[in-house]
Amino acid sequence: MRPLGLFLAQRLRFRENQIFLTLTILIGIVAGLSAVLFTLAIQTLQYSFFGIAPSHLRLVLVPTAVSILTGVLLAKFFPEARGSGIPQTEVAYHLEEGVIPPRVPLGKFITGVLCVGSGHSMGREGPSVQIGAGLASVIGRWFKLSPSRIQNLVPIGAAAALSAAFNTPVSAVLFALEEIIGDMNAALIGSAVIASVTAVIIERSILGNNTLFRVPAYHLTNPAELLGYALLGIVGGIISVIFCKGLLYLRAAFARLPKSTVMFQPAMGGLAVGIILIFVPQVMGVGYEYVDQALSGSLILKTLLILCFVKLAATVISYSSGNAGGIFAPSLFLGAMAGGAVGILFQRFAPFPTSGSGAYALVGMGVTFAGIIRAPMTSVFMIFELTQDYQILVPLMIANMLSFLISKQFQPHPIYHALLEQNHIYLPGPDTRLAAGSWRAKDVMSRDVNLFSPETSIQSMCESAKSFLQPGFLVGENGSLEGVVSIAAVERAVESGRGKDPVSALITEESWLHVHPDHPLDLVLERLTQNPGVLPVLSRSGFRRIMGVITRASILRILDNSQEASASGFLEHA
Amino acid sequence: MAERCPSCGKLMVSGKCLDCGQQTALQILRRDMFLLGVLATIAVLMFFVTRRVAALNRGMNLRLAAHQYQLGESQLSSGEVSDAIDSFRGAIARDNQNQLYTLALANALVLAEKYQEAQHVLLNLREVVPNDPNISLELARVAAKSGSVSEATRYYQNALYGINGAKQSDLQRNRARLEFVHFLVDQKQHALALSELLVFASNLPPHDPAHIRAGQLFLELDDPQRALLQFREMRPSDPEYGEALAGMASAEFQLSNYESARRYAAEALKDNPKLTSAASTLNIANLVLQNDPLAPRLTYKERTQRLINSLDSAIEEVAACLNKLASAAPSDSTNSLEGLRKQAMNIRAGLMAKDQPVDIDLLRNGIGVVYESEAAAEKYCGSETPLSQALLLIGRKHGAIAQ
Repeated sequence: MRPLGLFLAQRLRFRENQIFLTLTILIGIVAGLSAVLFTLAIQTLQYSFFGIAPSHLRLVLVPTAVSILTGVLLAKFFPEARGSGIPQTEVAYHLEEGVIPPRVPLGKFITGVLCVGSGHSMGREGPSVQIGAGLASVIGRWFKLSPSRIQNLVPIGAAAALSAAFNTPVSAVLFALEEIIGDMNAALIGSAVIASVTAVIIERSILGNNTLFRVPAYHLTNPAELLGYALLGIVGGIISVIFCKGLLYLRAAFARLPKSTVMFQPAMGGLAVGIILIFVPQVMGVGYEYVDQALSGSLILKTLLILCFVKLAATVISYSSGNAGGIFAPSLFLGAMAGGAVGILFQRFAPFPTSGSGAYALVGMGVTFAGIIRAPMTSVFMIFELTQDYQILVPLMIANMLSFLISKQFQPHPIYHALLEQNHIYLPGPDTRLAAGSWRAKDVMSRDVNLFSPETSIQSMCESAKSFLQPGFLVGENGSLEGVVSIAAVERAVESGRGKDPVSALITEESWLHVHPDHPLDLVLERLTQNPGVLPVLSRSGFRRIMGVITRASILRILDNSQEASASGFLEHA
Repeated sequence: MAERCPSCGKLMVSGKCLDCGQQTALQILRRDMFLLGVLATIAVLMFFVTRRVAALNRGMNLRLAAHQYQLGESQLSSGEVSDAIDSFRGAIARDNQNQLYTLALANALVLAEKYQEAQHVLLNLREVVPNDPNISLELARVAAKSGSVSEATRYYQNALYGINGAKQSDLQRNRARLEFVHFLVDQKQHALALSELLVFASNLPPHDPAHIRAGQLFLELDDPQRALLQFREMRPSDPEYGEALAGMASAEFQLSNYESARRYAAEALKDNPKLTSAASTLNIANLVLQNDPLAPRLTYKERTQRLINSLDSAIEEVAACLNKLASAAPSDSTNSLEGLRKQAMNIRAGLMAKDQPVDIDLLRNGIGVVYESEAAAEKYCGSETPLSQALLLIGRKHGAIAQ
């Protein structure tokens, strides 16, 4: 009987591996189809709303009216569908074990189509990523896969959707690794490739082999032109900083408005965008047809500059006001226009022959992508994949590197992470990801947390201290931490006659540290020694939401339990 | 004591019931198969739905593209070139497979003098359809407009002689060749123009009105003999026969066959009195024939009188020119003209004094002086009356050379 049991256990583990491979392909198909449907729905809706030559009234009314509807949908039914979708996908992957509720991809599809189709200056790739990731998560949970497998399906679904949306399978895989997982060495690369290739095959079988852009044949006319591309990198970096700062600033401004306006903020953005569209209708929606014109050198300098800055403003307004849509496409648009402008100016003033402005527009797309999205590998490979020409790599890398450095200097946090931090969500950094497999804060924390209310008097806290065996206390309420206070500080306060003051008066920002559940043990120990003997473990999502507490006693208890488990396992095996 | 499974009552091993475990595993596997089947079905249905939506979307885009193309054409015909360009771009954005839209855009860009952009558009199209002669032809036109002669020549030759995947009728090819010839003539590449024109003419069906155009081009290329052959392809019953006659008159005129030129010109005017070229040819031919001292079947007296009349005309022209130049300081021109006037007057005086028949050398000498005088007056004062033209032609016919 025993061999049969072992066989079944192995069969079930084998089953999960096989299922995972099969699901990778099916997710590639489903995510690819969803991305194609999303694109088609946007195009159809945009034509239905605007036709060929819309009137000024229509340009103003449509984004405003539709945003009223999407405002209600986003506020009441699909709050996770706001914004790009890529930061939300990263949160689901890193902090929620890949769990994305089914309403998220559904809501994103509906609100994304409505927002982008009604003229908002936003992209479709970000929403496609969230839809693909959401479908992958839902499918993984249908099959009751293990949490780690479900988590792994999220970037796979994201890569597949992006591959179909942008028609660049290699870049899509790189983006999933670089941006969503944050680790280029991830073991998921094989599955991501399978899903991505499947999705692009599906997409091409439906939409044909047409490329997204008619990319000009690229060649470096003169080695000295690299100066021009370096200049483009600097300009692109500056534009990236302006875009990121503007977006974060305006988004914070909208967040400061009364909560009762949350439902109407998208409409406020819609009205502003509608007014912009009266003067510059080219910034409507995704705008790839104008990117195409910039790549073919069809736009004059004045047009390029106007489109660049108006698109920047329109995208900032659309996104900050809470509409559903991405910044992937707008970043390419900005880069193409800025690149084209730099190309024309360089051509005018350079003392040697230069390439046409289309070549600069092409490199410009990668430059702003590197500066805004801050995914340098993806930005290089994406442009390479569009041109399939090795000649572009050197100028592209030079320009991208400069843009990346400038953007990083003035905007240290990448835009997606910065947007999350505005919502008090902090994703793990590379240092915590490197410690995979080691002991982490969540492994040594105690979930039994005693929180003292901030209004507790210092005197009563001093009396309570006698029954506690730890040298510090956690102060806060309703699961939210306000600070850590040491016994020594409490006793000093009582001695100085401040016994009746509330304990919150003893809290200062500099006096306590915290960790997150995924932090490695060495960081935990380091911070524990700097804290007054008690180290709070805070959630990465939710401002100061306490998940547990670490003390010397909790660490020793965990170790004792581990030793007991090891011993019993040893005896059982024997 | 061994425990029993509360579900099935069988003995458990290490606290686990293997039978129940096996059942659970089988249930999981069956559930997986079912879910995979459902998911695959959903995927297939989604595929067909998406394909249908894509087809509807494509149909919508094609209709919109056609509408924008029509709009662009009407804008172009009413002179709104920039609007037409935007419309054509919109059409291409919706349907970039349609060559017609791209060619229309290129044409509009050329009209807007955006030659580089037009070339770029056409080169992009050529990458998709590399052997299409229409694209080569459009590229040639763009190059011609932007002044790139060698490029235009290359593209024209590509359109005419390249390996053409698309079907090009002989008529289309011949039209393209004619266009090429016009271009070469404008660029004064006469040798190449002549060779292309020969091919063009040889491909024309008999009595085709294009023979007239070919003839006119041969005249421009100073090949009146071949021009004559082209004009003679037309029949009296053809509506364009009047033009052909005018062409024959011009060809004979260039060949210095003024009698034939006069005859053809008269017939041309009879057929179509509005042919101004024929009228001009007839007038000058008449003047040549009436004023040539060395014309056949004339008496000595008539020859002498003709020469005297020619000298009188030459002297008048020179005198008028000298009056025109009178305000200017004495120069080589005035000296030359004065010298010629004196020469002409001397010869005239000599002719007037002679009672005997004038010899041929004196006549030739007189014709030569008349020719030089008329040429000098034309050179310095720009005067060219029909009689002056006729006297110059007489001089050239008889080998006179302006000094």
